[in-house]
Amino acid sequence: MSRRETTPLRSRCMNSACGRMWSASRRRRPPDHGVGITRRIQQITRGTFDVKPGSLFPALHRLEERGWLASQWGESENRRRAKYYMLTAVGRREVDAELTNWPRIVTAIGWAIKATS
Amino acid sequence: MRFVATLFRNLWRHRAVERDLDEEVRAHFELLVDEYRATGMEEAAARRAARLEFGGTGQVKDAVRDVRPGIWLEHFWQDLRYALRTVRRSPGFGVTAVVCLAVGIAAATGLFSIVNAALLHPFPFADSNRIVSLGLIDKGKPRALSVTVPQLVALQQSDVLNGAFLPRTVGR
Repeated sequence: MSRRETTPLRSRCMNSACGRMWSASRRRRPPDHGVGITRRIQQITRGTFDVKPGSLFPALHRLEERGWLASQWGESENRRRAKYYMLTAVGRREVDAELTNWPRIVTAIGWAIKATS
Repeated sequence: MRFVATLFRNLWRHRAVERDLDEEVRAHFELLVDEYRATGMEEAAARRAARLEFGGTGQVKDAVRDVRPGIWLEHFWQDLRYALRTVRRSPGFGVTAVVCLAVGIAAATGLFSIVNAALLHPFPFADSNRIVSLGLIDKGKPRALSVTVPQLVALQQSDVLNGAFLPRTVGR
């Protein structure tokens, strides 16, 4: 795990954002289990997002119900049974769409903050 | 289509879905313990740290249940079963509740029909309670005869039939 740059964000509204963020990072990666996903998000956001199971589990299940993710039981490196999640074709398409939109959202929010501060 | 499929799975294979969630939560927890143990922690300390990071397993499972399609149906079913259990345990309370509801609904609808007829849809004439319809019945004939204007005038002027008119309210 890399050094933390800021205090972790833990708001409930980050729920689906977490799933999407991880999905985005998962664009071309093998399936991963819950703990792996948490660590991966911590790593790629340099500790900004510390996703607790209370947020991670519903996010994963929601994305699975929506068909963005698929899951299957597998065995971890240290021979433990774990549920592995992977992006589906639909999920990959959605992630691509979100990735196109994301820079626009960031820019727009930047403008909004500048205008009100 | 997918929504229907998952709804079906959640409702009909409820037990399997729950067992899967149970197992997933436990597996996640054990992986966390492994991770802490790998940093050189004692078993008990690793478990404590994992519990701290995981938070309440009950809350996590509830949060997952809340995102499932068909959760409202499940809640409704639970409420219904709870209500039936309560009624069975104290039938007196149930009967009282039903009677209260019956009396209340009857009173409300009764009062509303009166208000509806008298205030909301009154008969569109002044003194509508004094309007009568006249008819003549000839003994042995199957149908009533209508009254002509001259007959009406004659009836009004004679006192033969004084008090013999049977007023009948005219419905709409």
